Amino acid sequence: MSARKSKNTVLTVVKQNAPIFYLVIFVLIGCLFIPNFGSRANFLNILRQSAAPIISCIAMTFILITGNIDLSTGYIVSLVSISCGIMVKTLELSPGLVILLCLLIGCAAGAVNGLLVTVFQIPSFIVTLGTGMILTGLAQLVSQNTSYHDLPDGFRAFAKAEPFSLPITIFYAIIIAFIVWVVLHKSVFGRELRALGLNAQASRIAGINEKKSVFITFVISGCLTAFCSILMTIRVNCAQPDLGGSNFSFEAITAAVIGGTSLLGGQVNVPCCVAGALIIKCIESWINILNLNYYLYQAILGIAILVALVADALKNRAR
Amino acid sequence: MKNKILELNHITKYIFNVSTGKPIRGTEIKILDDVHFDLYEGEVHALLGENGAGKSTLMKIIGGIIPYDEGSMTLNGKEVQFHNSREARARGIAFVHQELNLCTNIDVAHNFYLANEPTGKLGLMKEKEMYRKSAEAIRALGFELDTHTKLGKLSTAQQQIVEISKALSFDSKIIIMDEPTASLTRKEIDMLFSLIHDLKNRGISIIYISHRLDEIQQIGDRMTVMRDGCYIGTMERVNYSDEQAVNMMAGRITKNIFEKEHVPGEETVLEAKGLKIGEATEPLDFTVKRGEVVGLCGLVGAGRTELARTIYGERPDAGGEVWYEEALYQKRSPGLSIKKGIIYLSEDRKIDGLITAADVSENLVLSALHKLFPKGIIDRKRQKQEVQRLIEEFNIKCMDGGQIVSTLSGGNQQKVSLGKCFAVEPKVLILDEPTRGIDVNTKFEIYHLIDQAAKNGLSVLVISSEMAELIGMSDRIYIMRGGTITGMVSEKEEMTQENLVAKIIGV
Amino acid sequence: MQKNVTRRKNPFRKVSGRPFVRTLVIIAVILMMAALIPNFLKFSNLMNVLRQASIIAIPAIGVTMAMITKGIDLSTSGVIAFAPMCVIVMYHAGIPFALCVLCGILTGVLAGLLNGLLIARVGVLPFIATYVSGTIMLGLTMVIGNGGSVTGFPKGYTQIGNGSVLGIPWSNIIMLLCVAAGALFLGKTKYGNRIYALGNNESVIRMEGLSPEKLLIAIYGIGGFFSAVAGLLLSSQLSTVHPTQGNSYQLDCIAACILGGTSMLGGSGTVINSALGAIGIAAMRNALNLLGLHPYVQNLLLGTLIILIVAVNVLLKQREKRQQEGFNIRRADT
Repeated sequence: MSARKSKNTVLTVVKQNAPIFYLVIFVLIGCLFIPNFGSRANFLNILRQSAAPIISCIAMTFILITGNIDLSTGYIVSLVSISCGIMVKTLELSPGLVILLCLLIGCAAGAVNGLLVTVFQIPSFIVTLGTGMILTGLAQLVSQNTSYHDLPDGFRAFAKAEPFSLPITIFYAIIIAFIVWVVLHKSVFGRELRALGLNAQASRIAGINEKKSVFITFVISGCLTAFCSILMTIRVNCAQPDLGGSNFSFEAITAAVIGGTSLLGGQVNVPCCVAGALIIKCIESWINILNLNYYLYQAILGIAILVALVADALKNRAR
Repeated sequence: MKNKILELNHITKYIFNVSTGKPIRGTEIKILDDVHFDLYEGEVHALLGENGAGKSTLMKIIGGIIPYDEGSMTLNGKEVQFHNSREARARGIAFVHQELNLCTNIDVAHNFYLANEPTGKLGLMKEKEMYRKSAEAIRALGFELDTHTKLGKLSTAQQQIVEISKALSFDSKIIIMDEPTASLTRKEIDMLFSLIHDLKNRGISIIYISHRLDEIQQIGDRMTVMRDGCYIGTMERVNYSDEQAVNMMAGRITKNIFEKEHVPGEETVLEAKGLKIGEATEPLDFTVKRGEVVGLCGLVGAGRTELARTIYGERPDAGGEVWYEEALYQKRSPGLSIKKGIIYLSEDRKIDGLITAADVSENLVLSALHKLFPKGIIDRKRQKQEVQRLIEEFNIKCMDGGQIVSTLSGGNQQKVSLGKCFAVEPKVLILDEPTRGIDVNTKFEIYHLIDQAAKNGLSVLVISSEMAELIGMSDRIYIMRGGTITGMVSEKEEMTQENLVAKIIGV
Repeated sequence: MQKNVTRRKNPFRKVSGRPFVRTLVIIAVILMMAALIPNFLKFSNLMNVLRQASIIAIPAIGVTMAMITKGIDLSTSGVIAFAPMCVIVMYHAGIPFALCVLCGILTGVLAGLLNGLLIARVGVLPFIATYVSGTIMLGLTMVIGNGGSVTGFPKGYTQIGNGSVLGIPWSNIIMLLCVAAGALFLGKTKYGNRIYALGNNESVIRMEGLSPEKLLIAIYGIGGFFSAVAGLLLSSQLSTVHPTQGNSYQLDCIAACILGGTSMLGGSGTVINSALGAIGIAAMRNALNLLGLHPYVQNLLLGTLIILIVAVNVLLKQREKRQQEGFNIRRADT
């Protein structure tokens, strides 16, 4: 390991941003060997599908930096989705208000997670496993067994607009990624989070308020997840309590890990996380085009994350 | 005529990496230097010494936990070098640690037979036999315990009995006891001593590590004193005297003492009133004035770090008050303390003093983030300025702010840790073993820095196990024992090593 | 120190100890409440409950052991799906059924050993390692089964899941056998003793020359074995293999262990108590089903229950730790 965190040599830049280079390689291989992959339509499709995964991956990194995990994000999506449907169709609220309320629901869910993790000091994976179950139950209760199709156009415009012929959702993703990048890499809060992830005890003694910081990360994650839910609901044009599910958090974690985020905490690189999410969607696109068994994708994802995990664990052994 | 069963000659051990066990490259620092120790059959040989005297290391060598680098160890006439504690146990040497090597969630019998469980047909443990035999082993020591009891439900004294009887079940002829009476009541200590007498009569030898002179007088046949990794001397019980023991433990300060220049101010900056650091400890009081350096000495386990952390707010108190700048300081927390101007330097920089995986810059500004960047956004230029200033002021030898802390030398790591404390411009600095593991030159650099800061009005509370250091830096020294403050020394004439050592061990 | 520490002679001493009684009481309460619901006490329904309970109790053996060592096993649902899928796919390929069953169980064991290796030798956190391996197995199940359910077990196989002998369902006989084996292993063999020790004080295990890594690998391997057995049993009950058949059982399994007094912080928990917990969870699910509650809503209650029990457990442990610390800084000369 090099003695300094220098950003000078090309080699270290590549090493620290490896996932971005992997993405480039994946795209090149796809363009060269897989028919239609390089077409404009396909790229647009990938971008359209990537917005939510990118945002959920970024949301997950907030949690992962401090060494926690959130297995309930998929179920936050469910709850927000069905609430969205009710608000738009039954209560007929204005789109702006609906979005605001949905974000608040996400924040509330995150706050519950955060409270249980910080105040009660229960390991985050048990907390979020439990709250996930609670949230999905709530979603079912709230839905009264109905889903809401054909959402009003006024509402759908939020995610369906296409400025410059590109899906607006990808702009949302980029803007959010940028904001998070600023927060994590350039703000005091981000510095504190990274310190907590590397050595919580030392950070506490240095005066960082661990409970407050971790709580905030869960709230942010909940809020961003709610935003994802809105985008996803609009895309499938159906507000349902089944949206998201257990796979949602798994994909987010996979994207984050492939993007170089360590599960032990302390390391994060936002552009790489974006790359990680895009890599996953690229692979998905390959499988779709080649008409392979879709479930192969699941298995491959699993193996990919396993490889990334092993690499991560071996790298961090010294820690 | 008793025969000598164990003899260690010219034992030397160099400093080593605790996690890998390998010697640290490039240093010739000895933690044991030409030490001599021997043991007769059926005797109780006590081992005395201050913190860091080397007694634990020597015992770990005898107990097989670490090997010796130079010299020889002879057991029953044969030369030996153990590679692990099981080897030593197989040769008759058992170690009863202060932190008992038992599992609190299983019962006595299962602890007794852990890793040596008698197994019958079908692969099941012979539980009836386990309960019976372990009870017998304990009874043989003169105690009665229901071996079905979960270990966690027993008192420390009872757990100790279990561990001792377990050691004896391996036909141990030598038992090393490390501070066995630390958590025992008077009655329990008496029972332990009667057990030890019993064992002696059976020809079992005991090496007894302690700092309690009264106990050693009671139970020890001989006592050996160590100091700074060296063998100082051995006394027979007949020739024993408290004064001589303290003398040997303290020694005369032959090395340079730091000459402090600052003069303490008048106003009281920090004060504890009736503060209890634990449920079962006595309340304590102390004061620190502006521009004053106050030392805090005591043995390991006396509660010094706990006191420091309680004041800082890193751990809760069990009663009492802390006053800062004439105002009651309640609901303490590290973050709030730093805001007020109090900061704490942790005793173990590798564990919680520094983030070793991060670079120098990040560590230096870690506590001062809110002060340096009040708007919440990190200004790289400002950070660089501050980091440069601190590197220069503390003479930290590193490539630049981007060097990862784990690659720095111990001395420089400690300077980073210190620099981090000064970055918040504190008014009160609490130092916990500030020069542990650092070379002499750097130590003096640090003494000088602190002295200068005190001249400028900084108040310092410093915890140290090195008497010379405390005497050189402090205007006054408090002594801690058993979780409370038992004395204070303020006159220069009283600040001698002998005096302090005597007070620490309660003579 | 008292020279004499004796416990009252308790005939149930071997099995009891407060956790057992506590669990028994909780289960009794659940059953009594359930008895208030019409149709619950019908014989066929009770048999149903017990059949469900067996699918929860059998993997719970492995999960209990994992939790004792401060770990967890989130791959049970994956193995419950993957093992029988392997069996049926191989059977359709013409391989003799007995061999298929053997291979199915073997895949479970291998999956478990993989978990153990990741956790013990590579150093991945248990919940991540098992979560990921579970997902991989789920994916593989879908791949080899083409995403859907697969039927076509040999005649008589479904008899195991649904039939009974002398009035006792085969499912429960298998459950009893597994639980008995597990309880004997964990409670009465030297390995079990060392597992409990490992969950409390790893350094003692090392000092005694034992290998914590080997113990962990064995624990997860055994867990894989039992998950595979549960998977085969479930498929026999359903006479089909569905990729997501194990999903609800995974959470129920953890809930059963927690209900049975297994602590997330390690060091405690028994196979029998977890099995009782399984009966309690199965009864709860059944009762809530009878009341017409959607499974996801049941999850709501279950989730709350898990969090409550764990929170209480953590708080109690913290209080204990604080008391211990206070004890250690006692005055030297009392």
